Amino acid sequence: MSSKDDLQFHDSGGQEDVMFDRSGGQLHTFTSFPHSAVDMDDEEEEGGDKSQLLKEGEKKSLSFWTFEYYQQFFDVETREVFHRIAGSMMPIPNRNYLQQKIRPNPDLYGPFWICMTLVFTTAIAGNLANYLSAGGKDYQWRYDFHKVTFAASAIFTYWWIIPAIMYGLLWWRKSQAGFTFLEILCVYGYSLAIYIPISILWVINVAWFKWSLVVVGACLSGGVLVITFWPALKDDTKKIALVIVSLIFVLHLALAAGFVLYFFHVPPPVSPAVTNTTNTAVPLSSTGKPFAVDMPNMKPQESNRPLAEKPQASNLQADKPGTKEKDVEIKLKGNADKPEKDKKLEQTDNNNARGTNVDSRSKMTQTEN
Amino acid sequence: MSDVEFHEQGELNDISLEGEITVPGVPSNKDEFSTLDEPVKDTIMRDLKAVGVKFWHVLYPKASTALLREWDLWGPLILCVFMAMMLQGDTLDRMHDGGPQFAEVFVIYWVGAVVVTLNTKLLGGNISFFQSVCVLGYCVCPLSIALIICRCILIAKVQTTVLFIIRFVAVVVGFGWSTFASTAFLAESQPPNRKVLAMYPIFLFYFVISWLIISHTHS
Repeated sequence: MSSKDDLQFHDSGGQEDVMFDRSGGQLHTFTSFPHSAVDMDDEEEEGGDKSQLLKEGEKKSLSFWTFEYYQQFFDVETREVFHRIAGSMMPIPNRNYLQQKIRPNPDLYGPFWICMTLVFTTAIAGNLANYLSAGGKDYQWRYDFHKVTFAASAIFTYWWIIPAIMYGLLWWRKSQAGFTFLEILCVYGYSLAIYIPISILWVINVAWFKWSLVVVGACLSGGVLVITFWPALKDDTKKIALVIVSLIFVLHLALAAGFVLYFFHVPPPVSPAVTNTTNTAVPLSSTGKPFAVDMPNMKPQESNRPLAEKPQASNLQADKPGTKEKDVEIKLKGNADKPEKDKKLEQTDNNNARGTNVDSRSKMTQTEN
Repeated sequence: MSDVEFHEQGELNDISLEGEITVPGVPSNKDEFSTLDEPVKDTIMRDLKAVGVKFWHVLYPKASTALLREWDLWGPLILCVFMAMMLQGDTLDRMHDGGPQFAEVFVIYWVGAVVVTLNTKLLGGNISFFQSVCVLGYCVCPLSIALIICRCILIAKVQTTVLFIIRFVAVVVGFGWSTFASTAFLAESQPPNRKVLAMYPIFLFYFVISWLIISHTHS
């Protein structure tokens, strides 16, 4: 019955303070707090790289539909972007570009703006090359705005489709390197950076110079790509690895070759020969030129034709009406009044395919006689 | 326990429950409702004046916040329509005239402004979407003036190299002015280690518009 005595309630009467009996009960005081409860640690971590916390801890919880999900792809600084661009142009065998420069933080800022810049420099330089190649200022040159749209489609397709194919290939071969799609996108985007200064240099209309630029650009950035992807493929059978690596390089080379052939393809003998014969503003001495210009230039034109038509046949098919129209514009704009026979020649020229230019030119030289 | 007072029921009915729900110190909202009653001319003149003030701020850029505080898109629309009309290619003779159509200039202008704004926001800038589009649109004004100059020069029948150089210089000056003006307004919204990253797309945007202007040789 001692417990009953312990539990007796004392009637304090409401007049005095109630005294609690400290000796009887157990009083637990909290003196040590666990770390998670203290705010000081959290503030220290916030002062550091908060973006790392976001990525490691909360990467999976960001929804696809929120703005912050996309902000994580733009988390770079100016310095880093410049380093990545520089690294994409220098294939150093021992240093893997992906591991060193991109690995903890792949971004989409660099690739996206490199592609946009490349679209506009290619289109502008292509128009400039066209303008410069067409000679002096005594005719109205019209620029081709649709080069921009074509360049944009080609470049953005390359930037997205090839990494998708690569990702699919690596997944199919069960590669252990663990490349994510974002990292492959990032590497491919930065690898296009070298083509920006090259596209400006392509304005210089010297054929061997243009093709040597193609080779240099493809080797440098293709080399970086190959070195980047080699660790993912070296565990595979030799044959497959070599096939994929050579595929990477060949596609990169084909992109550069495609640019040169579509945007910077200057048809050398056709327009000056025809404009010289039909342009009344040109002095008479140049009428002797077509004979001299035609003969040696017929051969390079013929040799260019199969090369030009083979890989980019569809492009040139699309190109034909455009450049044909430009040639016609050049002729029409240059002269207010023309003899009848020249108009007929142009019509036959229009009707002929590009491959039969030789025939029409020979016809014209015959009528010149 | 002594704070509660009890009123008789009769007293409650006598306490008045009328009055104004105004907080002293805050301006009342009565002015806004009266714009419905004002003449249309006043409304239009007020908006035009706001647009004009913003053009003035762009042409003489100081780091002021007038453009940012009250953004509007009338000015950019006027500039865009003007430029697209002037820059569109000649469709009278043939299909492949090569110049951009009205719609293409329109799309470049607005999609370009939106993409540059999205880039600024994705990089973490603390500026609202429409404020940025407003600033980018208004800062095209110097390039529009360059376009007018180019168009006047192109009236001459014979285009010599000297005239081309004058056009080129006018467009370059317009481009530099536009970029400088937009930098003055937008630079503070980015942290310093990303300023170049945010400014480069703006530079590219005005560069493309400058190229459209300089290569427009109207026949």
